[in-house]
Amino acid sequence: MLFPRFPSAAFLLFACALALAPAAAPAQGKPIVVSGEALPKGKQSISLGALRGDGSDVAALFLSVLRNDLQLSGWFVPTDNPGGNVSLAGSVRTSAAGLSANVTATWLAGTRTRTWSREAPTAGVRDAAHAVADSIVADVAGKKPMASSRILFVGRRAGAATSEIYACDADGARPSAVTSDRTLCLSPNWNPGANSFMYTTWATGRPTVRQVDLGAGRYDYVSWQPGMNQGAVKNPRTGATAIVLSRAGMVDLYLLDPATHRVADRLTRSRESEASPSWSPDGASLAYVSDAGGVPRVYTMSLADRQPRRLVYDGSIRESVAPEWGPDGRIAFCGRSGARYRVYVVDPAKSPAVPVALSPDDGTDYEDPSWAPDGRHVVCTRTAGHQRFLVVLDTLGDPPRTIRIPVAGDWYLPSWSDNGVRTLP
Amino acid sequence: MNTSHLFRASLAALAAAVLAAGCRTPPEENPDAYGEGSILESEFGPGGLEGPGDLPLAGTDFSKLAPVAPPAEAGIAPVYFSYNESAIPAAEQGKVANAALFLMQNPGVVLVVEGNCDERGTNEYNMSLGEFRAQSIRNALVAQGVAASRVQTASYGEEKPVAFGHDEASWRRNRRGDFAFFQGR
Repeated sequence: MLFPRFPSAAFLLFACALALAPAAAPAQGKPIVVSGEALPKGKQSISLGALRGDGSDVAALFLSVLRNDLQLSGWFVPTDNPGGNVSLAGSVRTSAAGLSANVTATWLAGTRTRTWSREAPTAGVRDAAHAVADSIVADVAGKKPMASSRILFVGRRAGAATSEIYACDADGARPSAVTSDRTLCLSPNWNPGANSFMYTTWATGRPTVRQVDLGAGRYDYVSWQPGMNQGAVKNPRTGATAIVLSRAGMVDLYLLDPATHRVADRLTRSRESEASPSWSPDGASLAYVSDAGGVPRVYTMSLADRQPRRLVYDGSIRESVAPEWGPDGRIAFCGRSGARYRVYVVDPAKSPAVPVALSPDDGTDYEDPSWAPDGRHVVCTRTAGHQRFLVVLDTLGDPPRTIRIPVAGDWYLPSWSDNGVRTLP
Repeated sequence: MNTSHLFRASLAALAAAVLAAGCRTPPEENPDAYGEGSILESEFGPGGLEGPGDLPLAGTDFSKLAPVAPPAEAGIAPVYFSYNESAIPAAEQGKVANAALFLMQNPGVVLVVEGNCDERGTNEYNMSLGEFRAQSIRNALVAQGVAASRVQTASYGEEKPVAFGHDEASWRRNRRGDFAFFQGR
C-alpha cells in the first residue's frame, strides 16, 4: 500500500522524512556573498538586504523562497550586501489575509524601478514568492521565468509494486501525490496551462489514459483501446492528443480528436514500434522514437508532409530515445553512448544538427529529459546506485541540482509544466 | 472502436457518472502551509480522485475474468527474448506451440499475453517494446490456428520484473512474454 491509512503511521513517516532530509528549498537558498568578485558570465548580483520581513514565519518563508528562486533561475546571484546590480527593497509582513509583500526592484544604476505588491493566504506564501521571483526574472533580467511551474513525475516508494503520479514545485518543494490509483501509473505529461495532465494507469486492470484536472479534482478517460495506450500528449495549438496505440497488431502513433478523444488519424504505419511523442512549440511537428532503422532513434515529422526525418547522425550515439521539444525549438533527448545513457540537446533547425551532451559523463545514467518553461533548464531521471531520482540540468552551465524527495523510493519520468498564468501583472 | 448498442449505453452511464462527480470542490489547503512532508498523502485523500467507476471497455477485458492455471504437463512457460528484440527466438518457439495447443484443447479459455522488458532503456520505449513482444507472440499463436479474438496483449515495459538483480542473469529473465489464461465462457 502506498499511503498509510492511520494518522499515527503517517506522522511517524512524516517525522522520519523530515529527519532524513531537511526542507530542500531554503537550504539551497543560502546567501552567496558577492563582494567585488567577478560574477559568473550572464549573471547579475541582486541585493536583498533592504527587503525586510517582520520576524514572522510567513515573512521568513517568503524571503527564503524568493531568494532561492532567484538563484535557481540562473540569472541572479543573491546577496545580503548592498550594491548589487539589482537592489530589492520593501517589506514582507503578516496581514489579516495571511501575508502582505511589497517588493521594489531598482536596477541599471538606479535608472529603472518596478514595484510588485502581493497579498496571499498563509497557504499561498510559496506561490506569492514564486510569482514575485518570476516577475523579477521577466522584467529585470528580461528572461522567461519558471519559478511558478511545477514538475510531475512517477513515484515508486521503496519496496512498493505500484507507482503513483506526484507533483512538486520547480524548486522541488511541496512534493505530493496527485493520484491514488494503487496500481501502476506511468508517463505523466502536463497539458498546456499547467492545470491538468494525462497519464497511463492500470487502474482498470489494463493500460488506460486518464486526464486529471487538478483544479476541479476530477478525471476523465481519454483512451482505453485494447492493447497499449501510452505517451499521450496534447497539441499546444489544436488540443489533439498524440498517443501510442497498438491497434491492428502494430505499435504506432495516432492522433485523438480533441473533443471526443476518438481516434482521428494514424501518423505512422511502420512494422516496427514507435514511442514517446512530443509536440513542437508551434504544434505543427512531432518528435518521436521509432526502431524502424533497427535500433530506437528519434525522428521528427511535420503534420503537413508526414515524412519521418532522422534527428541525429552521430556515430557515437547508438540509440536515441525520449525526445522532448523545448519552448525555444531545441530538442532534448536521451542517447545511448557506450553502456551509458546521457541527455543531449540539439537544434533541429540547424544543418547539420549537432547534439551537445548536457548531462555529466560520471558513470551514471541520465534519461527522460523535460524542458522547463524558461527554455534553459532540463529536468531528467538520474539512475545511480540502482536508485532513480530527478536532477535539473542547466544548458548554460550551472551545476546539476538534485530534487530531493524526502521518502525512500524511485522518482522518475518527469514532465515540467509551462509557467501557467501566475506571474504578476 | 466498437459502437454496439451496449457500448453506447455504457458510454452514457460513464458520462452521467462524470457529470455527477464533476462538481466536487477541491480539498482544503493543507494546514501544513510549508508543504514538505505532504508527499505522504495524496492531495485528494485516501479515496483518490472522484471520477467514473468501472470503465466500459470495447469488448470484454479478459483480465477481469476468472484466472485459469494450466496443468504442469501443458508446458506453459514464459517466452524469453534477446536484448532489444521482439522476434521469438527459435529455442523459444516450442513454448508458443504449447500455449497454442492448450488454447485449442480448451476452447473456453482465453489469453492475455503480457510483454516485459529488462531495465535497460527508457521506460516509454520499453513499454512499446513490451507490447511488440506480446504482439509477436499473439501473431505466432494466430498463425498456429488460435482465433485472434481469444488473445489480448498487455505491456508492462520494465515495470514488472521477476528478477531484481542488475546483471544479464536477471535481465534475461525479465525480457519475457508471460501467458495469463482466463475462463472465457
